[in-house]
Amino acid sequence: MKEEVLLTAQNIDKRFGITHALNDVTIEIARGDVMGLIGENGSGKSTFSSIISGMQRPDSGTITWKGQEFRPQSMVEAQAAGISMVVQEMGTISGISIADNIFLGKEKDFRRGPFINKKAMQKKASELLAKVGMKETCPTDRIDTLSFENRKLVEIARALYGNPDLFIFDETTTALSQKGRDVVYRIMEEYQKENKSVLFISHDLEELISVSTKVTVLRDGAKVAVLGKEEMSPDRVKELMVGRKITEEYYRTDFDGSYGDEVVMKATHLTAGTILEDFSLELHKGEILGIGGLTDCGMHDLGKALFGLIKPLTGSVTVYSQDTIIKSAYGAIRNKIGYVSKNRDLEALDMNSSIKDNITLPSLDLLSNWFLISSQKEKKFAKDEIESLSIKCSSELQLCKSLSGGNKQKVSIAKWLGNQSEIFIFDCPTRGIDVIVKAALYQLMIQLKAQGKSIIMISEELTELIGMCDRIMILKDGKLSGSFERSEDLTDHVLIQKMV
Amino acid sequence: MQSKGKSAIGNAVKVICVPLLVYAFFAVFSHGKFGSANSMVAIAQQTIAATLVSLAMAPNLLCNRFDLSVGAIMTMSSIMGTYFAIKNSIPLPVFVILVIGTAIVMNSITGLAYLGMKVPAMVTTLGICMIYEMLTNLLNIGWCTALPEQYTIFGNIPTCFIIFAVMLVVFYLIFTHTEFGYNVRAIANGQQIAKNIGIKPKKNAFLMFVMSGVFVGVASLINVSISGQVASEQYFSSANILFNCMLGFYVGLALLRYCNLMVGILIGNFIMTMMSAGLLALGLKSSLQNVAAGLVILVIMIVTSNQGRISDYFAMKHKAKEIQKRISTSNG
Repeated sequence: MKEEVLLTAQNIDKRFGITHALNDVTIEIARGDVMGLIGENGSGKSTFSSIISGMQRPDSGTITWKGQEFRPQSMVEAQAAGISMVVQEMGTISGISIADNIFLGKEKDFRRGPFINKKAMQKKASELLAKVGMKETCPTDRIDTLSFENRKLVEIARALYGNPDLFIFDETTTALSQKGRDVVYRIMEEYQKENKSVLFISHDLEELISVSTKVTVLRDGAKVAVLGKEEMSPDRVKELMVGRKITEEYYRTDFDGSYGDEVVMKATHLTAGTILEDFSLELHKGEILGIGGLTDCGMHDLGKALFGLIKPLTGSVTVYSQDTIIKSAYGAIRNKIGYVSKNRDLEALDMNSSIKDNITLPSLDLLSNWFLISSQKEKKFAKDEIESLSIKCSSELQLCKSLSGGNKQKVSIAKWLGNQSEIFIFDCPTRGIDVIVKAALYQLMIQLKAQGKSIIMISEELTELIGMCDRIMILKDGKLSGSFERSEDLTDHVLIQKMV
Repeated sequence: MQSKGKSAIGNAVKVICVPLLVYAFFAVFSHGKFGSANSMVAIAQQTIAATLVSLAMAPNLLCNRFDLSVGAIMTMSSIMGTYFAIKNSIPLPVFVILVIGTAIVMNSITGLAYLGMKVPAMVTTLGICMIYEMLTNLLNIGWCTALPEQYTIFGNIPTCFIIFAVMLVVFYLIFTHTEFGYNVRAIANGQQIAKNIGIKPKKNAFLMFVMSGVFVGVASLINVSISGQVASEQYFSSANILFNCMLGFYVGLALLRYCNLMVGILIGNFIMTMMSAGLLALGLKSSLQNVAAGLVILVIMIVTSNQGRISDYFAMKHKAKEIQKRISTSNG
């Protein structure tokens, strides 16, 4: 049976200055398709989705939607035509209610004369929230009362309004726990059943392969392949993404789990943040210590408390000789501790500053000479870090906001490497980055361990904890529920038992 | 549901407490010179124009736009009405249209200039303020001109309060029940996301200036009716009007967690007017009055903005004690 084509993007081309973001890309999405879109960071996936969802205009090329030429000028216009998108970044507005966020730009649908019928709006909001598993949430509450994950679900509810024919998930699942991901998968299934379509962008290869009916692979802004269900395999997709066979190892291959005797960081009876209670740990020289659990188990608060960003209610964090107490981030940096937040865009980088400014900021002490900072030294310092981590950018002066997710993450790590940190606290370091950058980061961690540096790796991905860590501590409801040494026999099933 | 009702009552009590405390302070320390029923009515009457100006400025201030031309527009629109009232004895409705219409037109011009010049609102409106102040000098009949009595009926009680009540309802409806109000709140809290979603920031910015004109016009009408005279402005003296109103707005913003913005602004301006009268009753020189008013406002802002933190601090202390106890017990 011939497929009914819903959307054809023909010869789409888009440039941002010297960057050729999309190079003559043609993609066809048929009714009932769950089209996976994959590529390295910066391969043009988000540019493509932003063009068909009306956020940007192509330089050339045509879009045909339901047989008609289509040139959306805004997301509202695209949504009115039946295309909705949920992006990776925060897309909700703080300071206003959940219902107001769901119907942003569509308030006129609830107009009664010159006024908005708030009751009707709230009723519809409740219906949509129920569809994304948030039945108990009150639509009049401020959106600020929700967690980042639930705010993402509110965005999905917003996209569902108007019953779109094409739903675009642009790395949405990155921000979601399993519960939230299940909501997304359920919506995809329903869409397929209703003969509607989904464009699904994700860096999680296994997830992408399991839910997609077809996968389009982009490389350097160009389409390199469209794979049917039977042709998809992680190795094949990886190979197409980078244009060569991936031979290097992904995780650590050793299982000895050895590290030094010296304790470089110690947390004692630590209570901090909303849930973490009476937690103690010891980090040794040359150790990669994994912290795992469900997203709300307190592990992200732990990272902040260890870096001095949250004041502990009880207990303390000491480093090296145990007489240095970490009381603030300033103190942590002075003691050669680096921290990469889970919330990269808001907490790890200054998006409106250049790569150079971000990298040099924690190291100004190293660069200053009699209170003056030489711009030459600064430039060289940034360039060295850009080179050593292979950050893809036009120059060190490029603004961080224009970098891809993986390169942003490299910048946030580079600033601590440049600072010659001895202890690294990585909170979800591989969140939202492609397999190639992921592999590079894992290799970097192995190198750091070999140099005697110590790492705390907080992660929701159990496979990477098992693959990379010497020891793993699992948190449940803010407390330690299990501790595991590195072993060949350790499986994610064993860890899950301690998490839930 | 019950707890929501309880917290609403609790919030209302907190909001009412702030002006009551200010009132009590001045009533006690002025030894009867402040706080009589008549003086409180006069204070309420003086609060009207200030509140309307704060409301006029509110949408722009929420979007981080400082419109410094508001004071000059208020003066200019009163002078326009007064000029034709004296020269041509125009009918009362024409006088009203002239005052409010002038404010709307001038505010719209300010809005267009801001959008067209693409420079920060503070810079654009400062330049425009200077031009408008010069116009008040060109048009005014004398430095200070009295308005004929038949035009002052809008300052009478209860007329001024009725007009004020109507304007409060209009603001409430526009700000909380219209598409424009929804857009203003969205832009104020996240301009880029609002833009991505199809809301037009420029169109809304212009509408904010137009709406501001309506409220400035009515404020001007009531102000000139109550005072019965108009005076020219120069050397940025019109800023006196708007800085007090801005303080009223910021007190309103600090009270936002306990009440809606409009009620907060009303209470903020009422406190400001009460303080002017109270400090006068205490016999403070006008220069010291400004210092005292500034200090009191700072205290109010610090207390209202940090109230949550203080209670959080004690709650955390208590929690820490309990956890410490548990740790000690488990360690034997």
